Amino acid sequence: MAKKEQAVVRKDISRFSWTLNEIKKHKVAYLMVAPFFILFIMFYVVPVVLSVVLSFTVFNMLEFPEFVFFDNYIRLLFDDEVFITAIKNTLIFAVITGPASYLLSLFFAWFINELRPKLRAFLTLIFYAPSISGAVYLIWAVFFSSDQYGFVNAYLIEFGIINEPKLWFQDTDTIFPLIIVVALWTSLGTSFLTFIAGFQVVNKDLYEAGAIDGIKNRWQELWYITLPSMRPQMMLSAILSITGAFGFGGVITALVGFPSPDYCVHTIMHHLDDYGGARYEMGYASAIATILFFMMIGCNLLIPRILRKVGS
Amino acid sequence: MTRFKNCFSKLMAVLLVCVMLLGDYALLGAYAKVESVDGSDSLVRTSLSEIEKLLTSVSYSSYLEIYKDVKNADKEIVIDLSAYKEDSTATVNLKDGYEGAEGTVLLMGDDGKIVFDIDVPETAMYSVYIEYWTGDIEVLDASGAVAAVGKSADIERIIYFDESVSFKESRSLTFTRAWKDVYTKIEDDKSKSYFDSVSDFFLDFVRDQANMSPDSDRLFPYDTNGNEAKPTKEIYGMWTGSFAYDTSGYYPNPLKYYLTEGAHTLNIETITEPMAIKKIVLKAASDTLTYDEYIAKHTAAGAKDYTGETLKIQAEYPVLTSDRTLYQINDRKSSVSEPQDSTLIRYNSIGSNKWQYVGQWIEYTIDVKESGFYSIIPRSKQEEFMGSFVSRKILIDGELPFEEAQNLRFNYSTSWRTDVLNNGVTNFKFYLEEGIHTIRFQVVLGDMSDILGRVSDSLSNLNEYYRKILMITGAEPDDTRDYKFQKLIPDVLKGFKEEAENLNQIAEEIILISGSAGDQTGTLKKVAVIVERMGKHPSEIAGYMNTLKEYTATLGTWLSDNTSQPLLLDYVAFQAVDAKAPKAEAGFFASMWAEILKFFGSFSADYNSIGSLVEKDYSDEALQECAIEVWTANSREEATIIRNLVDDSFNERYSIPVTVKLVVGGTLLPATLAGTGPDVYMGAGQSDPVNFAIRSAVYSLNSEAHGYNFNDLSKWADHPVYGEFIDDIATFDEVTKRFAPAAMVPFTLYGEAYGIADTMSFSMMFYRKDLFVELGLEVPNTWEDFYDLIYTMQSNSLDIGFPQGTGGSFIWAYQQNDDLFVTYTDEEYDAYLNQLLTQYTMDELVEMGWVYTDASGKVRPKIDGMEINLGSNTMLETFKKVCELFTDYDFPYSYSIATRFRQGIMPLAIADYTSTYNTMVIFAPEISGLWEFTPLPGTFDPETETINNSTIAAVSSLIMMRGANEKNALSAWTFMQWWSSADVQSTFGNEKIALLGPSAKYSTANIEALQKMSWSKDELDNLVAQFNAVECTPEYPGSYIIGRFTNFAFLGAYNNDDNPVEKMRSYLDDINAELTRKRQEFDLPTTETFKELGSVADDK
Repeated sequence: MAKKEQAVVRKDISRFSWTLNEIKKHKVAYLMVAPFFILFIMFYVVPVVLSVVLSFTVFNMLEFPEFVFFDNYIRLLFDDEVFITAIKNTLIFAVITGPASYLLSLFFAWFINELRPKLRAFLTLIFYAPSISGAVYLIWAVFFSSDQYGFVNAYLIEFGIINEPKLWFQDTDTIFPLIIVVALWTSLGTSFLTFIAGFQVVNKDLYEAGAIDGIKNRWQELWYITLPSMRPQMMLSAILSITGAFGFGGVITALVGFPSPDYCVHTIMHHLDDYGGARYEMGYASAIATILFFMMIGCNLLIPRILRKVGS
Repeated sequence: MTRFKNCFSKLMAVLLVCVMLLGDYALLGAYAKVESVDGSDSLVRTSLSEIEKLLTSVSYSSYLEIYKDVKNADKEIVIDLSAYKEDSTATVNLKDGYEGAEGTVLLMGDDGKIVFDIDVPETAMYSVYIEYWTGDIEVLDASGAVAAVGKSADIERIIYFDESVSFKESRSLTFTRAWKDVYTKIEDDKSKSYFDSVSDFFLDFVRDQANMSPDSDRLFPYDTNGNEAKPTKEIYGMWTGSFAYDTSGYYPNPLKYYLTEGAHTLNIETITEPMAIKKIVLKAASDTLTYDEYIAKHTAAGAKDYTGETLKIQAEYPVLTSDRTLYQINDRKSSVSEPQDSTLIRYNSIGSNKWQYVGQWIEYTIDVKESGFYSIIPRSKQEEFMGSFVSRKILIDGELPFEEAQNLRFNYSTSWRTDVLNNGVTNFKFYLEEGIHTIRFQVVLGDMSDILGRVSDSLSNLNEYYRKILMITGAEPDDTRDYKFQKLIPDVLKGFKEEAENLNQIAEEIILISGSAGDQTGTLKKVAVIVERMGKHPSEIAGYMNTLKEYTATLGTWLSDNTSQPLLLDYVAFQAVDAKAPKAEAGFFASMWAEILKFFGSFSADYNSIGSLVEKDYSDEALQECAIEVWTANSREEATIIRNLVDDSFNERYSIPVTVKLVVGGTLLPATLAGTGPDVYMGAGQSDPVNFAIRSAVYSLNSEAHGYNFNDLSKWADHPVYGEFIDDIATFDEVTKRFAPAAMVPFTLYGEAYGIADTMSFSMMFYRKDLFVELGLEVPNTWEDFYDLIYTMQSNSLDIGFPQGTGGSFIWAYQQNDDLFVTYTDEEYDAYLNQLLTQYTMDELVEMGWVYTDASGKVRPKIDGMEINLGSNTMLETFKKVCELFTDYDFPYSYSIATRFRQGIMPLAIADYTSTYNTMVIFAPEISGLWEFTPLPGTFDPETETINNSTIAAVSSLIMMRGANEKNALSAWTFMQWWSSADVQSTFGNEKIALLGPSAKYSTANIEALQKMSWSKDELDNLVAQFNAVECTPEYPGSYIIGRFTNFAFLGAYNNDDNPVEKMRSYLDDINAELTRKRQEFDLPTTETFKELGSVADDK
């Protein structure tokens, strides 16, 4: 049947009709991927495109948007001090919590991997628990309650370290470090699990081969064998960590309130909420979102380059 | 270090003495004139000497202990009601034959007390028996005007003999009301008729056993969705007699008072509600038979066990209930509950957590065809208290059949049970004579009552000890210091040891009664251990103070948990003694099938729309055009009340179709954008009307320019629909008169009002009367008084609750007539206007929307809200003073007011009146009557010699969205003015309480409606006084930025010791810049505009 049919070569026809041809040929595959694709376009692509379009307008969510070219971006980048603070904070969060939580996940996973299976499963659950149980980070608010009878305050007062209750989550001096700790604590989630899975699939023969080839210690084993063989998992974790760090805002709002005192932990997400919510300036908020979007894309492009260095 | 401390405390003491002396001088000055700013006469503060008389720390158990050898009275003393004494302060009417009573009835108002002389024939213990009317009454004053009207709340009285209250429990005695159900009947022609649960039709229906099977006819009407609709509760007036019982239920028998032979006075003082009294008798309660005697007595009379068919009462058909909250419930969890539908609402049970407070009762009627002993088997469920039981007592024809019948137990179970009524040991049988009987089940604490009473005593002792120690050690006890407790408070140490013993013993007894240890005893033992240690080793007391505080709080929670007795009833079966109990739960397959049906039913059932009872015919085109849609984001319960109110009250007066929709908050904005929004939105926030209006999503209500002018309804006078009831629609100006004048401020922008007030909440001052008496403090009238209080409070280590940041400072500033935004005089307005006129012509200004005509007809530039006034001297000074309260005076920044107020370590707090009141009512019943709320302290104005005690209120609003059009705009307005009217608001408030209980007080903005709600007289007087002195902050574009930066300023001052004034000033530019930016977005004149035009400010 296929004998007579002449293969269509890419060069013969235009790119468009070639694609069309290919689609016709694999129409079953396209049909199968269609449900996901339609949903993906509707709920991801369209909103992103819309948001980019809206970022060139003034839009108060009640009246029809008005086109203003680059005004939003100009104001955002040159006339909005709070946005600069937000970028700074977001980057600090991304740089500290992203890689730190990544490395922490990696090392915890590595340590736990050495344990007996039952104990390993148990510890995995313990480490993973904070991220499956939703708003569990709120216990930090209980510990560091600003009431004089809050746990930390009560003990510190009892030991005579402080004399009056400290407003841990309302004091510009203490918010930042506390938030970083909370961020690290909550971030040991999916990436940690991915690493655990990654360690399981490394081919055990490689270690033997490595030992013969002159691997001297466990560090070398990790760097030259384990990590290179689990690059896909590392890639996934890295992307999750970075996007998580950029989008880290809800936890802060829940613990500190919105906005944070003197904008000291104001992130881009908060800035976006501020303009999109309280100020009814959706156009401006879209501009913020667009910038955040491109920052994330940039980071995600950077990750494979860094990961390529692993094991070399 | 210690030396320094000693030295320091001496210095402090001297300082305090000086300050207090000086304080007295200040007081003399400030007492010149106490008057609320608007001349409202009543700042009701119960005089503290009056309270002192009522305060006693004697508990009834210790009172009984003292008089345990005194015999019960043999003789009765009948009080001559007409012979009340001259010094009675209550409004009293005497009426012969009132409501069919024989003889003279005494009507007592809702204020003051009534005093009788009594002559006691013999020294003995007497109980007080009162026959009273359960309905609402009206009491007239001397001039014939109405002095008090019943508001259907429980009647509460204080009873005492001679000069003072004998024991605590006598300070609050409750007399329950009776409520009947009013059922709606839909006739074939869709007209409605009504019958109630005391009518012959109802009684015959429920006495007919054929109607008690699940598939019989139902009394409940069906709504348009096919769901059953609840009957409404209505108060039922009847004469009923009751002894005075302990309200908390710790003592199951009537309270006994010790009276010596000779002359005494009986005092009855009002807490809430007027009361009609037919008879007051002092006598001993008669003895009840024991179960054995009861059986022996009836067996001797020839009674046999009943052997016939089972009789049934469906629990959803009560004749009377004690509370309006006792309404029918739809239980869907069990497929055996009768009757049942997989998707629709069928009311099949009653009770649960609405029927959990001591004293609440439900009464049924039954027609017994054959005399004999019956087994009574309720199908019931108690799933709240694991390892424990709840209790009920049963009254047959108003009598307790035998003593054990007041301790009926219902054990914990997650599924329904059908146990024969029992006390944990014996299954009882009851003798019922042929004929009609009433069966009443009442909540009691049963076997636990004595135990809970003792825990409650222990708790109040421990709280008292805690405060006594605190006054020695201060809030942060030093564990290394020797406070010499043994010398200072030996009684407390002894008390600790006793309480430890008590608690341990109670724990043992609980194990005996309930048969298991569990959580309950754990709490008690934990507390006992600490208390014992504190008693034995005084040196450790300081170290354990924090723990003790936490533990007493836990004990308090334990107590309130254990005193609630929820029970769900499905039916009550009366059956042959040896017959098998009915099936309590469905088998596995039956339940499974029911679940499957429910699951598939859930795909087609509509749970969101709120159905009405009668489908109205709105096919008329003119009428259809007038239809409106109303959205509310409140709870489902509230939406249902609104729907019912629309069906009854609204549709009766106005024939406009209204759709009520329950939406999730946050849907309004996208829906309005998409053009699918409502016509009226209820419960919008304070800033919403203006914010939506400047983005042209909300219509103005008083001007044609940006909406509709509802002051002039003449243009609709000839409309085919509106014309009929146009006279019944209040105009805009009439509606705004219903609220406090300031309530409309946040909704008004440049003369145009974009909404009307819905709810209004504000702070008032809550204080503990008992502690004020103990400390010898007077309630502060001015802030000077308040400052004097601080010293006394803090030297006793007590806290004061104060609103943080600008919450407090705005109140102070507004009391000094300052404003949040810069305000302008007439000359300044004109100067600014002239400035504008140099550049533009008047027509241009009108065109640009930069000027408007105000209420007095003057043309004004739109400059209000252009500049923030936080930099004014008053604003900065008040802000600084508030910051100092938190930094220098160490006021707590965050705290749980409920806990601290209850424990007495925060006897004074300024807090939101509804939410605090609602919490206290439920959370701290043990201090009921010991606290009160009054208007805020005021700022004394030496010029006018008045005190301005304004508070700042938060209001929510009703808004008309741009979804409304030319045709139905008046419908929207009709709805809005109807909703805010006094009748509807008070009905809504009362219905809410009916549905959710006494802790659901509604903070209406309508002052007339407030007076119709179930507040007591004193509470209401205070509320009205504060209502008349309410301020609201205005809303302008960019207002949101103010709260944010002022909070930053406060936190800076609090956390980092920044200078509050400097810190606040550093944010002023940011705030003004944001205001300017926002104003530019909406093309309004800004400070920049005038700078460009040449500075007007310079000329000023």
